[in-house]
Amino acid sequence: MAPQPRPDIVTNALATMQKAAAVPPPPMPTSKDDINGTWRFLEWGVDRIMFSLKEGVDLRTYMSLYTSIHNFCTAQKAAGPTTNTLHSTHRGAHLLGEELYHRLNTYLKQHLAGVHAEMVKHSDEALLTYYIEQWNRYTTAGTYNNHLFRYLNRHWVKREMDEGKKDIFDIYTLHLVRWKEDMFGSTQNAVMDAVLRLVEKQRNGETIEQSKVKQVVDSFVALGIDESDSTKTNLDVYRQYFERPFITATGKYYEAESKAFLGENSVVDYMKKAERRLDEEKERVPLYLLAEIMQPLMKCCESALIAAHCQLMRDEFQILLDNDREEDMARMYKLLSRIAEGLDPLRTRFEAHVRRAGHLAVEKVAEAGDNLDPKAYVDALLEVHTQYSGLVQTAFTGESEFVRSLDNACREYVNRNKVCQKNSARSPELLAKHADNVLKRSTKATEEDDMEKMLNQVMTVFKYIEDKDVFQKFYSRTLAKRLVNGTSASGDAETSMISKLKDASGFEYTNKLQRMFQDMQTSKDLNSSYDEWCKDTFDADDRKEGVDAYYQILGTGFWPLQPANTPFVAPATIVKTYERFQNFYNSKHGGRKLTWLWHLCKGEIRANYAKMNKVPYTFQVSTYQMAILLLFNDSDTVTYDDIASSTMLAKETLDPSLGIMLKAKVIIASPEGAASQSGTTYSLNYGFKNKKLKVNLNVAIKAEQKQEAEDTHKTIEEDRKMLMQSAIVRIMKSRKTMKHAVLVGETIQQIKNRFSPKVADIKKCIDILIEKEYLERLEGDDLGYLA
Amino acid sequence: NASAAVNAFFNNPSTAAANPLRKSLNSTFDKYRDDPRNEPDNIDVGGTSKLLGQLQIELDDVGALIFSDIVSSPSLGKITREGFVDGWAEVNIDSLPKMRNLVLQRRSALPSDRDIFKNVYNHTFTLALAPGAKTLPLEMAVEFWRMLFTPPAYDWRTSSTPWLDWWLEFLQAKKTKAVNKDLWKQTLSFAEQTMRDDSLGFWNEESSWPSVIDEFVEWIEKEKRPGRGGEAMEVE
Repeated sequence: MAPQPRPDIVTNALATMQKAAAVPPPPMPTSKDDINGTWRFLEWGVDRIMFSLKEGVDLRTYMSLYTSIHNFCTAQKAAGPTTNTLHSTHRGAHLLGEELYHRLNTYLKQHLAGVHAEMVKHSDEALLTYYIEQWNRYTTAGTYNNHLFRYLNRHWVKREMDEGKKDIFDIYTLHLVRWKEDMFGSTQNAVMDAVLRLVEKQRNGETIEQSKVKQVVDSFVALGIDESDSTKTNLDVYRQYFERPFITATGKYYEAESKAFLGENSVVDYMKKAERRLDEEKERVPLYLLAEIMQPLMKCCESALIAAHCQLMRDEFQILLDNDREEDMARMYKLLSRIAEGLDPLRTRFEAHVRRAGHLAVEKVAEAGDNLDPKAYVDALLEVHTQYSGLVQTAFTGESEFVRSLDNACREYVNRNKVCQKNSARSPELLAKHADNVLKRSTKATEEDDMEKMLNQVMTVFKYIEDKDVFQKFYSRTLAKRLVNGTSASGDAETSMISKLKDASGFEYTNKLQRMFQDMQTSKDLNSSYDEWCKDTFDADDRKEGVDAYYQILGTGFWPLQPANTPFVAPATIVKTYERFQNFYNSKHGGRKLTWLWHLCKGEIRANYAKMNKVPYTFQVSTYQMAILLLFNDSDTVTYDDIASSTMLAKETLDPSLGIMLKAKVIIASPEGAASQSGTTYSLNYGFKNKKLKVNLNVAIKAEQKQEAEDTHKTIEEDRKMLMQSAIVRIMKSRKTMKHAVLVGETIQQIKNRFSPKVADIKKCIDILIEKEYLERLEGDDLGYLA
Repeated sequence: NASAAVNAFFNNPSTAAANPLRKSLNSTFDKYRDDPRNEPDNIDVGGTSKLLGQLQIELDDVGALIFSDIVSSPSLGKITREGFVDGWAEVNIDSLPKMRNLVLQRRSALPSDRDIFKNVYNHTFTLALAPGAKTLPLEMAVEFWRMLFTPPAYDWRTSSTPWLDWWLEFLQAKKTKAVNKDLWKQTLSFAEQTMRDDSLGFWNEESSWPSVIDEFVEWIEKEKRPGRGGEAMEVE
């Protein structure tokens, strides 16, 4: 059966067959195996396809051309003897097909020699135009020829290729191979030069015909015939002859441009330029380049535009930081993030800068010395943090490494600044004091949102505090005071703060703080059941004898409260009242010991002798002052010695307690202005006058406060030793033996979220534990645990 | 037959007494007892000095410490029968001249034989301890260190560094009150290391020395060799 040409080719031929052929076809070869006749006929057809494709070929002529190939290839089979084996038939077809193949090959060579001769006359864009025109004509013809010679492709060419001949190709590929060998080698240089000049023009701002570059790219890609398997293509030719020179030229272009630009412009302007250039190059790829070029192209641009000038940019970074040039820093970040290790120097500078800024801010407020306002200090710490964490978010996209640099810097200036130079515990102490001021009731009420905001600020600083144990100490003291004195601004705020601390440092950290809240609630319940009990137990007259009182029962282990450091004999009135309560309490909780913290108690006393508009004044006093004032119920004048002996108060407490009342003119010293000492007599001021009806005499004594802070610091040292020792024992208990250095390392790990222990301190603890025979030295640097 | 004798001793102590060496040691021991009636198995200060006198060993010489180590004296000037007989039987010696010889032999080996010195050194701490005490008062420790760390014992000094003098000076300056067993033992290790590396290259803050020794090193770098410790400068 005669093979049929592909229908679409026929359609195409039909569509154009109206146009008369310029040259009439030569006659069909008469003999099937006449190579000369066959080729002469075929050459006419190939010529038509090559040069006047648009004019078309009528169906019959096309069929004849196709048939002549078929006839030629099958000639011997038809004429051959019937005894031929399958094998010899095969060889015969081979021989005859080969003739046609080589005739076509020679034809293509001649054609390309002509094209080549013409091409060298052109240059630049004209060259490109000519190249593309010829390429298109040639490859289109190649497609048609491939169909026309399909019979040859399917039989002779296929067999040759099956037998492993590397220099035989299907007809279309033959076209490409010829182009590659006869045209490409000697012209690609000129073509590429023209392409690169064109692209350079575009980079210089001129408009170019981008499609030309695109077609050259396509032609280079098409020529990538896989040498081991000609039916496959690869990008070798494109990579070597297009991509490589393209990248080299790009690199050169930007090296020259950036150098020239920086010679006349600022780094800031350069960065804008570089950013724009990078964008342009990126956009160029989809327009007329192969997507594969994106990566090498970007790398090349980054190297020429960024890496080559990164030192200049980094030097500029400090200036940008100093002048808060956020946008420019963001640009620099974006640029330098594109090159390897581009950002490390920025992070280092950023960290140093923030640290410096923090130190400066602290130095400004540090001038106040011991009177440093906690709020001013915390605000100084926060201000720097706020500014630069903002910068990290906006300019450095919140990148985690920059966050880390910020954290490092903050930790540094929060823990080691001018204020904590002498005492590293100053930072947590001041922060805790600030927190106290925030949470304490003050004259102006704080909105809930503001409160939350301020607490979050405290937490921001808290995060950086290394001596978290110190903060805990001071916080629990101030919290105890707020609770005992009822001076919290808001219970919700207190709870919220505790839960924040718990989130940040764990349950154990806030355990005692939470127990303090529980005690407050328990006390509340206890007082109401005490009231019930009183009603049931005593009659109304009996009850009147007592003083109205509210009791707080605080667990010794949870409250950071010490018994007063002065002896004290409570006035009889109070004794009666509290004994009653003690009885009640013991009946409920036998075996518990109640210790009265007189220095924390307070009360109100009504001055029936001194009135404003017939209303007596009320004094808010400490228990000590109450004891002193009650002495005046029996006598209008009392001597210093009397007061001292009946209250038993130590001089350090007694004198300031008197002092406040003297200052407020509740009592008067005689002789006038006499010091608090033996021989001085005090009398009640019957002419007492004050603007307010309620007069607060219970003012905290300065010396006491200072003493308290000192005590707190002292207990911290002790606590730390215990903490380290128990950590060491805990570790050794589970490991039994351990290298000394490893033990030190693990101990630091376990403790560092409370404070940063010094190696020397840990070693001292190890010494102590060896002496106490918890540990022993073994061979080498090993330590053993002695159960 | 030695092992048969040992077995016999452990199985039946009464036959052990029959051992002529032990018998003679026991009778030597008996001669020096201070109070045979109340303390038949102890020699006290008086007997000990008499015995050492016979051996021509000065009481304040390191030889006395060597002797105490051999007989495992529980405290200064005290010798138990068990320690005396076992100690000498172990080295197969029962005559006073031979005893003197062994002490002298060990005395001359102190600087070079690490094991002999270490035994004497470590035993000295136990020896010097007051009954029930766990630490040695500094003055005591200093006396014994002087005895142990100077010739003819182990000379703790190098051509450039009078280590013992520095060590004692440091302890005085620091107002150390007492020396515990760990510090005593570690001081010998430290001394040995300094003899090998005078520049203290073996020391670093992370290593396992007791903190008193760490402080000693710091003290040296500050007081004795200022400017040598580059690290201290870099910290700032």
